[in-house]
Amino acid sequence: MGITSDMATRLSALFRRRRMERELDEELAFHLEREVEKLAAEGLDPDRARTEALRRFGGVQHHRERARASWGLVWLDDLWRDLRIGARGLRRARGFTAVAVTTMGLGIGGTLALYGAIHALLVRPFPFPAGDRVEVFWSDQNWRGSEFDHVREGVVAFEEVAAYGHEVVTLGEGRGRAPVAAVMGSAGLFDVLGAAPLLGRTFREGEDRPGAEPVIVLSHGLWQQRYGGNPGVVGRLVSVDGVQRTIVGVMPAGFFFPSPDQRAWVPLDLDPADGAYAGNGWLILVGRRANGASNAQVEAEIQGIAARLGERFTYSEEWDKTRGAFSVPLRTYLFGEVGPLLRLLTLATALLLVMALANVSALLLGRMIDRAHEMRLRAALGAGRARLVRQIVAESVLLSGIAGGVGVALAYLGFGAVVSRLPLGGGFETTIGLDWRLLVAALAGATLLGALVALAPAHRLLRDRPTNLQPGARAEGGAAAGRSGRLQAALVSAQVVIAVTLVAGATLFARSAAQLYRVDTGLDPAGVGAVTVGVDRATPGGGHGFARRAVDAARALPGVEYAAMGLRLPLRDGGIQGSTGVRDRPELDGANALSAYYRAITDEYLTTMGMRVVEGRGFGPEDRAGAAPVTLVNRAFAEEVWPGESALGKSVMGNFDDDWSTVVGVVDNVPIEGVRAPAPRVVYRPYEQWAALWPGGVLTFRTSGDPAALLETVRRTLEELDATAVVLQPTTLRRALDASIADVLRLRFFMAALAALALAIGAVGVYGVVSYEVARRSREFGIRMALGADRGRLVREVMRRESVQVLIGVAVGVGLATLAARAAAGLVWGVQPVDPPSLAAGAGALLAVGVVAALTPAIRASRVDPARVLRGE
Amino acid sequence: MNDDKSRNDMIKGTLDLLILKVLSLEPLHGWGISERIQDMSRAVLEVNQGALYPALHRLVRRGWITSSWATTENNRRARYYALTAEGRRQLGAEVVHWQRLSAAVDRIVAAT
Repeated sequence: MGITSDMATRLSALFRRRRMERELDEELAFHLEREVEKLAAEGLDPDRARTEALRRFGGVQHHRERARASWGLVWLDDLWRDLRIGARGLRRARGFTAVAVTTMGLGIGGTLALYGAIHALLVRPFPFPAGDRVEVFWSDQNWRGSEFDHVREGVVAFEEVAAYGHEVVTLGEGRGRAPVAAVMGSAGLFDVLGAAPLLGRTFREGEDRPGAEPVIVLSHGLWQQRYGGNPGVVGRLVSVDGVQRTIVGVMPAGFFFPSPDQRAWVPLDLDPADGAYAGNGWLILVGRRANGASNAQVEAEIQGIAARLGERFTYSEEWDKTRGAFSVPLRTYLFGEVGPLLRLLTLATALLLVMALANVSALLLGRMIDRAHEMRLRAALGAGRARLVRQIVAESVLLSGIAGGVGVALAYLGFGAVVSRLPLGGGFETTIGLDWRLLVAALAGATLLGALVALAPAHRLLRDRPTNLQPGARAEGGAAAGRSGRLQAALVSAQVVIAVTLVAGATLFARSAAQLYRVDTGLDPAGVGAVTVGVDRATPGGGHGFARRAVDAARALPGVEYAAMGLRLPLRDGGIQGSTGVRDRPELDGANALSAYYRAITDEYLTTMGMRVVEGRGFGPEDRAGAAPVTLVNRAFAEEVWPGESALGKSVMGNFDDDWSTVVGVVDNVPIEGVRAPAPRVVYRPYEQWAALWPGGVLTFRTSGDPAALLETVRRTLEELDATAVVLQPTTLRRALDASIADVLRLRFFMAALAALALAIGAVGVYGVVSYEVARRSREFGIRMALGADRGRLVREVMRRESVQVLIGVAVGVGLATLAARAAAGLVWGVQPVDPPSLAAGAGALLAVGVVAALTPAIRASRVDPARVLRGE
Repeated sequence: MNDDKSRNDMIKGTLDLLILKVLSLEPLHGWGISERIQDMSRAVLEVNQGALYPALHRLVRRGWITSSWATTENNRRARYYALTAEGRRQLGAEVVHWQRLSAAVDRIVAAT
């Protein structure tokens, strides 16, 4: 669109100018005629009168030119001509153009794509009015209903506080059922956000309490998909997890909370009479900061809340909400981990952009020096200095304009790739778009930069006196070229500095990711697949019966060696936490109760996941409902509670158990909260001995082949097994593990791409400048060789000269990389941020690139034919 | 008739003043302006057409005069120039400037 509007402007200017010229001609003709008439009236015969008038008038063409010049439009003609000449020049110098356009295009495109992602994520406002005033209270997914009600009372710095949690619900009945990610929210949730519905209403006061009419609010997307956007949907009933709920409202398009993959909102059921009200915390608290509430007020209020909670509730040490009280802005809560990542990557790409520009400047400079003789010749033939400078600038602007266009195209294509590789989750990538205004601004900026970049060589040209046209002029020009050579050398060193920094950074993150891969997860992910499956609570036999049938059906599939059901997948789903009593350690009761993750697993689960039994045994088919309650604990639990003792035969009881269960085995630690987190305490219970009836869970299976290939078969099998079965989140254990270190893996991807670009641009830069230098000195080399100089010595001399630039760049680059690494310390794991191997890799890579880039032209220099040089070629 | 010298010696910038002054009397076309300057200066000043039209277009761009096509008394199309309010203010300023300048020159010339 940039091109068409530009054409339109040009055309209209052309059109207007045609008219102005026509009018000028008419005006001048009128003048001439009146002059002729006047002379005729004075008595001259018509022919003489015309001749005389023309004589007095002077050159018509000349007047026309002068008048046109006064319109200030001549520059348009000149610009057009300069651009055409520039385009011809660029077409002739194809290699130069390709290199310049590629490096600049990559620099611009990469920066744009990343900046676009940052803008969309970190700068763009939320799709609800109060977005920037919403804060999340400190404990993530850990608030109980009773705590929420307590916090709400008497809050001043926050206008409204709400609680919510995530849930997958099934919407509809029979075959029309579909799983929908929903948010269970307190009645004030939409008030906190300041969000208004498109149709109907949101929650009403009291709708999160027992006895209220069951309601549901739909997202715009769900409304379109399920109801075809029918406005009559408000007031209809829909079955949600088997309960009839009234659709009371539809949210507007674009609204999401907390993430775009949440498609419906259902009120919580906060019932003080219900055990869950005071039981396990799974709620997230959000509050809307009061207008004008200062940070100090908010801080004081939160400390006050913490103190009040401490008086009212007792906490075990690690869930102690009276300590470390804070609130974080919703944006930080949702994107917190992306922020530093994006900032680091932007810095890196900005450096790449600088590098690309330095490269293009160096190339342009070399090109200008090559053309200095031509320019001097043209100046001597009368071309104005301004004219020549304009020519240089026009060529550079044209070049950067093309590069900018390439960059914009790359950004457009690369943006999706960038966003898809960000560890966002939650469907945010679908809400992020590249702002076209950014692209237009970038194109304009690139063009402007082109003009700026051209000014240095243009300035140099202006300083060069155009008098040296004598035979010795080339040699004389050598002095000016020498000065430019030093500028070029500086630009090359700068590129090397940046390239070393980027390569060292990339190596650092690659090593960090490798460390994470080397961590012993206690799992054997090869060949393991997993699907989450849910069934109606009303399924005969409840969750237990279904689990048994599902495991049997999955194991009967060809290729499946083992199958098991667990409530959660390691790493992906944090899971259920409970406090645990230990029979022989009564001091661990009450306020000192141990928190632990609880996982219900079927027998063969450990084998399926490749988990190791450290002591005792795993579960077997004998551990069924009705048999003696048994338990496994993980190594972290056993070592903490019974240090130096065997855990076997001890008894533990969770706060949702009715009875003590005996520890029959200890399993090795597997990561729950992420690969980098220390192993938490975990208690494993036999699936069929789990007191609560869970409708489904995560079915895992092990195959000797590719688990991904079996996922679809498993899904179909489970759906055929039960008409109400809903299968979600098919994945492999490897993928789940990778997802848990996604930030590092993605950072590694970005950094590797940046480092590759930096190496390529750096190599081009060194090569270009050395080539130029060698070409400039070819006459000197020829003479020296004619005088008997050794070819090898010439090569060594060139190499020595050029390696100084590279060495300086490498030295400074190592320093800069050290500083940058300190800043990125929070993003690496398992390696020191200032990592000698990474720095060595960066330095080594650039030295190697430098040597290769310098060697080719150096060897070419040694092949200069002395005879040709001496003939004056 | 006046020689080339008198034309070439016309002080730089005076042409603008003369055009503005002439147009302050009535709107005129280019030829008319040059004729009027010649008449009013009793043929001492003759306007070079090569300077006249660029000057006219320049003054239009500055907003001191406007141009429009109109029909002359003998029914021919010509571009007429007219003074704008801004041009009138500019004329005032230039007249003051010119009078100070010419008085100064007079004083020097009249010195004994």
